[in-house]
Amino acid sequence: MNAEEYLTQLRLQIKDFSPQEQAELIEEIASHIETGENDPRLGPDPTDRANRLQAELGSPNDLGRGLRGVHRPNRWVDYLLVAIPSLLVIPLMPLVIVTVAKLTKIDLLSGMESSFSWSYFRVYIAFYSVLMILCVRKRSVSTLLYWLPTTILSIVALLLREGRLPWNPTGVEPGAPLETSFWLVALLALSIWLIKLLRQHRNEPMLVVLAVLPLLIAVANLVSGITERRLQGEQIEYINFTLGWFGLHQIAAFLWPALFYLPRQRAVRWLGLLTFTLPYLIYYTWPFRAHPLVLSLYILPVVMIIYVAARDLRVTQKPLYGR
Amino acid sequence: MSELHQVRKGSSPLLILSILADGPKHGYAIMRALEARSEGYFTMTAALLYPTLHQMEQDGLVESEWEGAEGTRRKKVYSITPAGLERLTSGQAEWKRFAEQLFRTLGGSGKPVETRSLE
Repeated sequence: MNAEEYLTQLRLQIKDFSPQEQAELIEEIASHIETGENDPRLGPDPTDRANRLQAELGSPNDLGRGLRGVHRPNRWVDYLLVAIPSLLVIPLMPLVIVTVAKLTKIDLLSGMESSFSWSYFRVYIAFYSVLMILCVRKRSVSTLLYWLPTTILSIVALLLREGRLPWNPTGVEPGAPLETSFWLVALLALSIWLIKLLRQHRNEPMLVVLAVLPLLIAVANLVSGITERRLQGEQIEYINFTLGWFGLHQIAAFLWPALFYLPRQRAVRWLGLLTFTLPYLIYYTWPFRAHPLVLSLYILPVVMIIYVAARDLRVTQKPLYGR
Repeated sequence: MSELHQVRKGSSPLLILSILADGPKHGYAIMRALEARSEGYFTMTAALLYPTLHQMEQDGLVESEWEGAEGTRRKKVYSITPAGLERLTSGQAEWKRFAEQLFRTLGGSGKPVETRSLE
């Protein structure tokens, strides 16, 4: 097997890595091969050196497997870190809050709206924080880059809902300044962390898109909510279908992590990200078809995914060893 | 995989750290230096060396940078970090104690085990 064949085999083993990662790994091994071919310590003539080098390199499949073990471990753990909370815990959280309130005899019923929503946001943020700690302990950047934006959005939702921001669309009486300061500091810290992670992983487009998607969807939801309120008498006719929004969302919550975290093929993983946007696309685009801003905000994530995926999956035909 | 092979494989990070303690090197140079220092006893295939190096980099024991003049193929050069030096020092002490205890236990009465009576 010559150098080009070796590197081609190796690239097949790491084809699910980002293009940047693939290029760097291939370059590292190519430079190893080149140095060996020119090293007289391996033998007096090129054939001897090539044979010795081949023996030292070993199988490209073994090398690829070893590299995958380092750079892509724990696919099932990643999947479960996203799917289990999304499918089981988060939908049941309101029930948990009410049950705990009953058991501790906290009166959520009088002033239910404000008491319940007070607990609702905080419990979710606490839960997401636990998930983020798990992601850090498992060294899973791909799951952290899902839960971190989700936590940030929950804090923003809390600040908006409780009138804690200068722009107060709900008209609610603002909450205590001390707590507001706490949430603002938390928001700032988490946002800085997110930006730092995105910069660190800017060469892996899949991770960047994963982190940005919840933010884009949140903006679309916010604008659609504001649009609906402003329409006043005009009803937005949502499509009634059997599953409903909840059913659609749960199917997507099961499917998109399965397509994104489990397979090795990059094309399938991009499809997973597209599946993330499907509930919103299906549920919101038809009712808001007469409102171009809302429509475009829900279509924008899909266009972004398709564009970035197309660039990412473009196959290069350059030789890997020759220059 | 024999037990000795497993032990040798498990000691790879420590061996790599000991080579890098002498100065930054790229993967090929690490392989050659290890072979030279051990007089051929320790050899590593690329399938063991590079995943180990990458894992050590993720663990903060080594760091890397690309080097190379324009128009030439770049080399990824690894250097030991302070955390790596600390791991090397503690690892050397652990292995020294392990080896001493192992030989003391294996040596026992000074006779090979199969000829010692089990009275």
